[in-house]
Amino acid sequence: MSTAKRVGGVVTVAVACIGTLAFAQTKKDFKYVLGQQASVTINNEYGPIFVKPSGTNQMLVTAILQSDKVEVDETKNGDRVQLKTHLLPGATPANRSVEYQVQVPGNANVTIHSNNGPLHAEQLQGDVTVEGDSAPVDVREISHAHVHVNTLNGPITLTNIRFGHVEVNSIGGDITMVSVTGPLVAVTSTTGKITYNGDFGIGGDYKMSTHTGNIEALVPAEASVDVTARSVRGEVENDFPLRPKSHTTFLPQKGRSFVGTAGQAASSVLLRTFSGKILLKKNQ
Amino acid sequence: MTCSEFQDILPDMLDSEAKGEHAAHLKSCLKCSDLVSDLRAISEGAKLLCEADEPSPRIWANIQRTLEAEGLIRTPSQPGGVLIPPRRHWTRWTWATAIAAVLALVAVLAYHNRSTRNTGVNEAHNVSAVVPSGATDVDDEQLLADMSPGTRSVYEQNLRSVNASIQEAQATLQQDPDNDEAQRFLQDAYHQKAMVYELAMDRSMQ
Repeated sequence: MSTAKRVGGVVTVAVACIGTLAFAQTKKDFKYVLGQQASVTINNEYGPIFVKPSGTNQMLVTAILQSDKVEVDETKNGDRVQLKTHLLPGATPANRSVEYQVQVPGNANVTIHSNNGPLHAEQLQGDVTVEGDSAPVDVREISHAHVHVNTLNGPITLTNIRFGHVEVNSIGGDITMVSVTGPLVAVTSTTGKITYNGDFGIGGDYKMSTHTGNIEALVPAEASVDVTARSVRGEVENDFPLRPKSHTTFLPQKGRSFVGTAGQAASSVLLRTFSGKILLKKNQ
Repeated sequence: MTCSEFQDILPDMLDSEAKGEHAAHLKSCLKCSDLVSDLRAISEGAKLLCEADEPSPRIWANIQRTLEAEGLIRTPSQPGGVLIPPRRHWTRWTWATAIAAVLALVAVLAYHNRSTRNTGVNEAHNVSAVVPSGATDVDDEQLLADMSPGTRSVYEQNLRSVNASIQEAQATLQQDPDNDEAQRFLQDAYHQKAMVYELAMDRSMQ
């Protein structure tokens, strides 16, 4: 290999290294000691947030900054911690993302926000509030807490939420729930599809509504429910053995609505769509 | 004069011309000169922003028309309208807060009114004349105006979806004023629209 080629190779490698350094990720760690029922808020304009329990009274955060065009602002007042991504001049879609990996005391109340996400929270016992525009949201293994989720068109998945006070709103994102139970589960969408797979618990109030989307509920035969399903212009279909009710607040219309109970009718289930389709199926 | 000494008196001289040794330092120091230039530009921009973000009477008139069309308020006997507030400076998103609150109020009142009376429903659904199905209205455009193209696209698409759902529920109610499900869906649609505004506000406050 000629000297000129060697020099050329070295220069190429050097330039590549410099380029890499210019957009090099940096990692920042934050650590806090928090009391009971601490409040944690993370606003990350672009990029994912993952939250799970620390198992201690410590909050541990690893923020992976895509470039030096973003930074993390932190505020701690008492047991309230706020972290916020701050875009600096020169930030572009290619270099403005930050990834947060967060561990919080299990009973901390957590609020996370990202425009594009994804957003993930798991195994928490405090209240969880999640907001995103198009961010996919995944919340799982939460018990005895409020779970509030709002997105524009980000899809939402809730898994194993026990004894929760659950309120979910999305304009266009599909909403999928697996084993979600609690005294209140209220889910609203405008165009998204709502899917529920679970037994509706014991004694809860379940309201699912979508304007143009479909609703599909997959329920085990032993479920204890009082079901009302109505579609204004769409259709309903029932594949679940329900006992007819003698008294209803409206006159059921074949193909557009049905009512009925199963088991002890412990949980109230209201399924509503304006022009979509409702399907209630027995889980084999 | 050092940069540090100059920056100590900087706030006092932003709105006036530099004189004497301050002017001499500005001429000799590019760093301080750029700083003064930037601060003055920000100051001027902020003044314009305050003016631009004050909601126009047109927005209030639009809200008022919507509430009147829904039959939730009566036409005012005095000129100026019941909703036109006294002039004051609004922060950047105060108007959006107000609109979100009004949308939520419309949702609640729409349901309450229709639950307690069965008359006058036909005139309560004229908003479709203002906003064609799936389009954005004046308030929406104001909300979208300051957004980056990517964000605007997401919000516009979702506002169109919500507006279409409002229109659809209203159209059904025009044909069947006693349709309680359509009434609930109209209420839901207004709540959904309020949520879009709230998300936009939260985003702006970050």
